Parts: sequence; C-alpha cells; structure tokens
Amino acid sequence: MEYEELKRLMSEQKDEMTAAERMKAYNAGEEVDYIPYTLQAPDPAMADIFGFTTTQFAKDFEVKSEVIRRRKEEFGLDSFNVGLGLKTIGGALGSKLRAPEHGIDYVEEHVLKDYADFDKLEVTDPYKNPVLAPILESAKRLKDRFPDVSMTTSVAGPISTAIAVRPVEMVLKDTRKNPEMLHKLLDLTVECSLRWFEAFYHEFGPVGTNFSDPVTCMDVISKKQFDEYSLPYIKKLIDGTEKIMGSRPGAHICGKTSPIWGDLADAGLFSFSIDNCEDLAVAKAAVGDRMRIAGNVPPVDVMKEGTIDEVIASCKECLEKCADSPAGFILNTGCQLPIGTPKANVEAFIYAARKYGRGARLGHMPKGILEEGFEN
Amino acid sequence: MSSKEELLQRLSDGVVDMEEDDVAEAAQEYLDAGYPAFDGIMEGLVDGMNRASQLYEEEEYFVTDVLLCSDAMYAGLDILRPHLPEVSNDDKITGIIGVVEGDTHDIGKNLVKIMLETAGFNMIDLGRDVPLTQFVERAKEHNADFVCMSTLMTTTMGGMETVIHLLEEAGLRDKVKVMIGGGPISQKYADKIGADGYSQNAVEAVKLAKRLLNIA
Repeated sequence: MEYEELKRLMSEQKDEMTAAERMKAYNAGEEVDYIPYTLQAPDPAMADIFGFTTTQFAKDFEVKSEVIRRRKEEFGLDSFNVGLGLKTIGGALGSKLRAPEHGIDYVEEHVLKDYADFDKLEVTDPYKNPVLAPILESAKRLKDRFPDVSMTTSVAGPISTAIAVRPVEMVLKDTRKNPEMLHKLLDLTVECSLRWFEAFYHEFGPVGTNFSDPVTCMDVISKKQFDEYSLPYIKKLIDGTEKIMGSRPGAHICGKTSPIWGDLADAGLFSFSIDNCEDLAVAKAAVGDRMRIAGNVPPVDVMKEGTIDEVIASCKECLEKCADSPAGFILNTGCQLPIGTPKANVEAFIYAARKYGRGARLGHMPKGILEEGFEN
Repeated sequence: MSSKEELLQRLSDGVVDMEEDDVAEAAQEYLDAGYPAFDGIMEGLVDGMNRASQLYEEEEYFVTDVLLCSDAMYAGLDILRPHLPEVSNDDKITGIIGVVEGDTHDIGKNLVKIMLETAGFNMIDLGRDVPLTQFVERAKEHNADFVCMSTLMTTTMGGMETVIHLLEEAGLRDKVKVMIGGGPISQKYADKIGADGYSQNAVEAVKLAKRLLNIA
C-alpha cells in the first residue's frame, strides 16, 4: 500500500492504553488493546529519522530529550533506555573506542592484549569512572525531565564485554590456551556490569534490565564453549541482577541460538529477543512456556530495505507463529533497528501490531489474527 | 627417518589437530630430508586445512578451531614458503579482501581469507576499517580479479555500494568480480547494490569465488 493509505488507516486506529498500562495488564493475563511491541535498540535509527546524527544523540542532552519525546509521541515508544553499549565497559576499563559521527562505536585499541596487564584492571565505579559517570549523570537529567516515562537500563553480556577488553580472536583462543585467565576476565566483566546495575538501583530504584550478547551465538562459539565460558557468567549476571533489582533481565543474542535456548530458560532469563535467522514457531515449541519471546522482523531486508507491505506481512507472520506463546510474546525486530530505516516502515510496524495484534492476551492468539484470517 | 608420506601426513594431521609446534617441527624435518616445499604445502598443510574446513562445514569444528588450525598452517608455511621455487604471483588469481570503513569486526573476513588462500588464491588483505577508495586503488595496483568486502554492521554496509560505484568510475568494474558477506548482508542486498555474489560463510565463499571466476 501507499504511505497515504497507511496514514489514513492508522488514523482510524486508536491506542486505548499507554505502553506501561498495556504491559501491566498483559502480564496480569488480561486482554489488552493490542500486542506489546518494541523495536530493538532503536535510538540511533530514531535519531536518524528525526534528523540527528548518532553523536548528536549521544552527546547533546537536548537532542536526546527531543528524540525521546518524539518517539513517544509519534511511535508510542513510551519508555527509554539509558544503558551501556557493547563496548562501553571495554572503554571504561581502558580500551580506546572510536565513535563515528553517524554510526556505531568500535574498539580501536584493546586494553588487554597481554594478561600480564590484567592486574591493572579494576572493577569500574559508575560514579567515578570517566566513561560511566557521564552516562549515569545523563540518566538522572533525563529522569528529571521525563518523570512519568519509564526508564530501563542495560549492559552487554559477559563474553561480549570481554571482547571489548581483549581482541576476539585472543578470547576465542584463550578458551583452549588460557582458560584460567579468561575465567578471571569474564568474572571481571560481570562485576563491572552488576556494579552498574547497583548504581542505577541506588539512583532510581528498581528498573527493567536487559543485556545484549551477540558473541554468545553458535556462529561464533561452540555449544561446548558456551557451556564453559558463557553460561556460568550469564547465570551470575541474571542472579546478580535479580538480587539488585528484584526482577530478572531480558536478553538479546544475535545469530544462531537454538542450541542454547533451554540453557537460557534454565538460567532464569525472563525474556529473550530472538534473531530473525531463527524460527519463532520452533522457539515457542521449545521454550515458550518458560521464557517470554520477542522477535523477529528482519531488520535489514524488511525494516530498512523493505516496502510497507513487506513490513506488515512480516509482522503478521511473527504474530501467527508466536503470539500465543505461553509465557508471552513481544513483537520486535530480529536485531537492532538499522540507521536508515524509513519512518514509514516504523509506522507500518506499529500499524501491523495494532491491526493483527488487536485483543492480545498472554498465551492466546490475538483477536486481530483470528479475525483477519489465519494463514498458517 | 620418516618417509615423505609420513611427514606429509604429520603436517596435515598437525593442522587438523591444531598442533602449531608439531607442524613447525615436521616442516623443518621435511625440508631437512630434502623433500620439495611445494608438495609439503599442498599435500601437507593445505590438505590439513581442507580437512579442517570440511569439519567446519559439518559443524564439527567452530570458529576457534579454524583459527587454531590456521595458526598451525601458517607456522608450517613460514618454514616451507622460503624454499619454494621463485614463482611470481602474476600467475595466480588475485583477490583483494577487507572489512569496510567504520567496522573492525574481522573474524569472518579472516576466515574467508584463510579459506581462499588455502584454495590457491593470492589474497591481498587490507585488514579492517578500510577506507573505501583503498579497495579500488589496491585492486588496480595488483591487477586483481576479484574484491571481497565484509561488514557486521548495518551502519557500514552502504560502503560496499560506494566501492562498487568507485570501481565503475575507475573503469574496473568489468574486470573485477565483487563478493560481499557479513551478518546483515544477504543475497537480496547483494543484488540491490550490484555485487556479483554473496556468501553466507567462508566455505561457501570459496565455492562462490570459483564459480564467479569460472574455475573448476
């Protein structure tokens, strides 16, 4: 369909609940206006849609505020996340990061190329560390400005944090050649992450938490490596988070993850945002009764490059496959929403969530799907 | 003293078993016994790496294994290569490979390079975070037959399309095949930007290169 038609159809749709009310009612097993939705780590793409660069968003408080306000107004995304990116703790520990004006930061020089330097690394203090303190400060200012919008925080998963401290090839080889030091490094990354959550709790009380762990997929490591070097630290991160915040975190892992779904559920993960290379129906059958599933509209081929109709069809397919998952379902993108995603495709996503996700209830197929025709 | 066959087997097995030191030792023994370096590389080291990539394809081996196997292979190559008869690389099919500007994720690129080198291509590795014009300059300089680009990030994938335009502007597009890969890349994206091919992993990349360049 054309954009004008989408806008016309959307003007006939109405939100009956705020995102917070919707989530609360959904969790309580009540019927909600439509399925809860989110877009994975959308800030860089949102900034781009509203005409700002990633760096402006990261550094300019007024820009950040405007993006948060407009994404709530225009896309109904009424929560915001102030968290640590994949490289932030690496940077806080001394790795040299480079942030392009409009793009995602990357590690230019790792701090730990030789384990002889390991003892120089200290658990980072969010109040004193020059990389972390400004982020915490910005969270305080944003909370002051948006007292009624819910704020969440996030960290990177243990092994993903480790590769921002030490080059990935070295970390992988450590699994064979230097397990003892790698265990110490992983332990340190979890300590740093939990220290961040503690500071956040200290400032804002209990908030929702998430971690992203792209390295811990089966495209990069084996199941055996996962069992020995990732799972124990993920477990530690989950348990530590629950102790601090009183609730368990959600996670996003890119890539192939089906061999570890059961482990993640056993480790107590609350929700799992699944990559579009995996099948939601298979995930539902495997772990849907133990873990909330979120996913998995293809970010590049559909959200960034696709048409309005392709976005809508993809959202519908996700709902058909997984909206009745017993522990709940969140319509989401399969990975980070890419910079360059057109505004129309974000709107098409929301349109589809409202239309096909209408009358959603935990563990049941939404009325929208049942009444608009089920094609599976 | 071991026979040539025994030493070749030891080189091959050493690569598969990731025994860097033993491969280096076996390579030295092999040379000391007066056997030709070329056979040692092809029937020993490369044979081992081919077995490793087969295991990778069968999901018996993972990225870490392939990296360690290639460490062992390169340890042997360092010893055998200086003893190859002088052959210019001009006879070999040459590829330029790199991770596009703005991205430093290079494990995938490294795996592809290893596999292509093992398959006999002369690979010029530009590394990671490679300025886009460099792909073109180096392709020209080395009279390359193909260019391989990768990225793991959506923010930098546009650079691949730029390189294709730059190749066109330089009048090189008809002479070089362009192969792309990486997490967010798909066949659909390759078609969209006019790349000649996309491959999902390193083993497929070798097949793709051979297909694009009409090598049996």
